[in-house]
Amino acid sequence: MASVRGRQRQLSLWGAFAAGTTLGGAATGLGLGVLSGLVSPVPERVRLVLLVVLVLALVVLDALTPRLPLPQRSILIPQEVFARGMARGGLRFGLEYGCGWRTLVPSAAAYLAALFVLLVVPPWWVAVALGAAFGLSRSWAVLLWIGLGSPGWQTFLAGHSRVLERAGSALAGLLLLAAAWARLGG
Amino acid sequence: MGDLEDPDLPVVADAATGVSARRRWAADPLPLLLLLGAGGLLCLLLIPVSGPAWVVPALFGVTVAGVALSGST
Repeated sequence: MASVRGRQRQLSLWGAFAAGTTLGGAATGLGLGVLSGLVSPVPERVRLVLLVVLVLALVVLDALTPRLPLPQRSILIPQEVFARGMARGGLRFGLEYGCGWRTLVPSAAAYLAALFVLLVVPPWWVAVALGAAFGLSRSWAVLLWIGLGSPGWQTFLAGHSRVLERAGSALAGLLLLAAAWARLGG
Repeated sequence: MGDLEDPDLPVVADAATGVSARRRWAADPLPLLLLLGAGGLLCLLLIPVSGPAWVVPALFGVTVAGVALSGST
């Protein structure tokens, strides 16, 4: 994105990227929503206890480890996705980035969101909406950079990226547990 | 121990480019994440999270999760 000159071009490229991240997240949400049907026979209280234990374990793991030691596809999205034009490339890059499992996952927050959908067993359309919200929000840092960024933005962010990832895990864990309690335990 | 004149250090780069700390944080996803988290917690306090309202903190939760991962673009 940094190599694209002009705010209008950057914004239109971000539009394609955000559409891709949203669609990618929605697709993952739909997949997880379908998979959650497999655990629906498990009693709600059991699923709630399992979710609490897993969320706490993942948040603590994220807080204590310098790099998240969880299974993930540890490769970057290839730059070749832009070979057929910037707009199409932005969309495809967004799809892979927004789905949450096609590239590096540096924070436990993605696992927390996936576990929530799997164990809470929401209606399919809620699973899609949650996935889309996750995907769309993954594009916001780029929008911030386009609107307010300045030289050295990435270096500054890299200095506290683990704080961002860990704070995200803790806050997402808290909010998702509250939602799960209301759905399964309330 | 890093050399303070190292141009890779963010603080030196900022001094070189004249970018204020306020502008740096305004363009950073961390304040946005904290704002979203606070908004979600406020919703928990204000809205009785029962019935279909459980979707509201869930949406805040997954949005916070997405922003937490957005720094690795």
